[in-house]
Amino acid sequence: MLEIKNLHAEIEADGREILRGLDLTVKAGEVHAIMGPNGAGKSTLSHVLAGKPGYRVTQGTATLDGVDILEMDPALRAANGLFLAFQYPVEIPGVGNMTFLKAALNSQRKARGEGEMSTPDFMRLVRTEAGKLKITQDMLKRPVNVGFSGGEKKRNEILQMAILQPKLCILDETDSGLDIDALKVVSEGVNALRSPDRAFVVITHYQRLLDHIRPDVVHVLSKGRIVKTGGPDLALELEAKGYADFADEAA
Amino acid sequence: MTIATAPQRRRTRAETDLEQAFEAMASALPGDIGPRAGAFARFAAEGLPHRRVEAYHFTDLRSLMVSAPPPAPRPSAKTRVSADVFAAVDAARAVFVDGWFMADLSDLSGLGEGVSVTSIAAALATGDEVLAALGARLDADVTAESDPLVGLATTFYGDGLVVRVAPGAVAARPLEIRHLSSGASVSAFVRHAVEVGAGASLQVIESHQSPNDLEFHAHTLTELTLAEGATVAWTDRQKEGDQAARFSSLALSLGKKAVLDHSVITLGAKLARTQIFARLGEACDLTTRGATLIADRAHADATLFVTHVGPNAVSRELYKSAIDGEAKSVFQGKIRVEKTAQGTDGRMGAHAVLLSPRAEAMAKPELEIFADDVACAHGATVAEIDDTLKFYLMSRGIPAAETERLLIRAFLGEVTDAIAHEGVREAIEAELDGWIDGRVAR
Repeated sequence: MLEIKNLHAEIEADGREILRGLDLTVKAGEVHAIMGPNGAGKSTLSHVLAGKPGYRVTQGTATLDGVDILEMDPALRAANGLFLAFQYPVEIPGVGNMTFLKAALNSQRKARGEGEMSTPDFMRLVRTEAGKLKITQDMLKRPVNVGFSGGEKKRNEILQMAILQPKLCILDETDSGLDIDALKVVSEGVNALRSPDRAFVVITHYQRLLDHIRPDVVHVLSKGRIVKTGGPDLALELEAKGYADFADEAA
Repeated sequence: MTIATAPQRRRTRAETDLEQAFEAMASALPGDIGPRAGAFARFAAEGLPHRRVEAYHFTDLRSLMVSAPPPAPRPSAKTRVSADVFAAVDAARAVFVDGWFMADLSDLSGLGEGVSVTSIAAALATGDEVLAALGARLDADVTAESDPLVGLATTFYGDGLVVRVAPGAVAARPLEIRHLSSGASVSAFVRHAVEVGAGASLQVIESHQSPNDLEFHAHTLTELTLAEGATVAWTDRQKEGDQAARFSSLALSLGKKAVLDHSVITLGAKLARTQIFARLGEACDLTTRGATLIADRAHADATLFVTHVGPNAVSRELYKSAIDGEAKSVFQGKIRVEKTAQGTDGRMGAHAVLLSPRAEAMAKPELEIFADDVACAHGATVAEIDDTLKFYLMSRGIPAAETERLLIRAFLGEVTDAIAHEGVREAIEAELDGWIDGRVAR
């Protein structure tokens, strides 16, 4: 589903290279974890895939179901099925959560040549999914993420994911800032979305999240490249030994 | 004998236009010529204000107002009337064309008992006592009285409305005052005086509209008095043409516990200046908000002088502008708290979002406080559309143009959401959407 080949990317402002020949293949139905020390390029990878401004891809390709996504603007990548759950979801004063969800869903449907969802159907969908994530009516009525706690923001990310039904979900440090109860709710939300035609890339610094979202494959990212790939046991090994080995190896 | 005279400054073309117009018309202007001549003499002494005049520092009329079209004659009755942006709102309607009240185009019914509306031109013809309503607010406010735009309106006005709401009366429906153009290149001068009695209430919807490609100058001077406990909601929306100039002055007086909720929406004109001169009595409540959306080379100025005279009054000023192209917005706001105004609660904010690299915003909020027990604050921001917000919305599949529309609307929402009348609010929101969608076409 996701095929990244020899991806090089740098920070536009200062030309600093962050991704240095990254290769990654993720098949439909799989959950891949990407772990690594601070500064390895984990968040940069998620940003470059989602199309955040401020990065320049200098080499390599990234395709989603065979389609090159790097030339697309972020909205088109989303319409093609890519979803990034933000490490720090953004507060948007003045834009109601429901208005936002509806605009997002219908924009994507429109881009794919599907009709808009009717308001009653949309309301029903939101109510059902919000209920599963313990998102209150009040949170739905408020402006996007404004005044939300860290946990509420992350649940709101998963709500968007549940409503938009993407093909590929990238979770960028979704566990950061979450207490154990919030972590459970968020993980259950993610697990409920696991399906044979959907893939996940879970980016995390800590193994803790992977107790709740069980990966099929674990990668270690260091200095902008995947330096080791293994099964779920690799995460436990990293938890026990830390990243020191890889930092040395790459240096 | 030689008399030393100060060297005469060379008049600008607009100043010469205005002087010649006054000389030609003076004998024909209706009513007492005294106040008109006095106002014009004050204007002529200083001429059009320029950047060295503090209140006009950012809006230099000597350079911006190139010429002044002649004062408008009463247009023929056959004027074509453009569609009313507030057509869906149930309201009484007073229609002005080139600054003249058009009785046959107006419908002043249904305002209910205690509400009287009189045309100033008609009153001038008969010397009606309602004319006593004119000038009272200006006499009490030297800043307003000495203002050159106020002076021009005072000199040349031919018509306008005197609206009186008797004490305790509640207007049964809103009064819409529509200002239109006949299509002639003229200067329209209108004066309104609105007096709302103790405990009475009134809602006014003002709209201004003129066609593109027309040098049309619209001058409006409105005096509004709220007696003790009166309540007024006032929405002013202007969409003058792209070559038009709009000069709007509002002199306000709020009595004890009076409440005024005022909004001004600026969507047009090449050159626009909205000025408010407010004097606030005891424990009254003034809210004024502005939303300005301008593009191309438009210049829009909002200048407020808010003077707290009585104690314990609240004032809130919130002005927002979205500026595209090479347009420029100016906000100047001064809250003055006199010694007598203990317990004042004043807050002023001016915020601009620049939608193009050549857009400009100037903001000058000021506090002048002579009382010692007050809570006053002001703030101003100028920013571009936040890339982080834009990326977040786009990452959910919302295309760039729609993202900007959502963010501009959200930015202006604090102003528009507060318009209490649903029909008025919806009409204005639709116009904002139209303006934002029009950006794509530009």
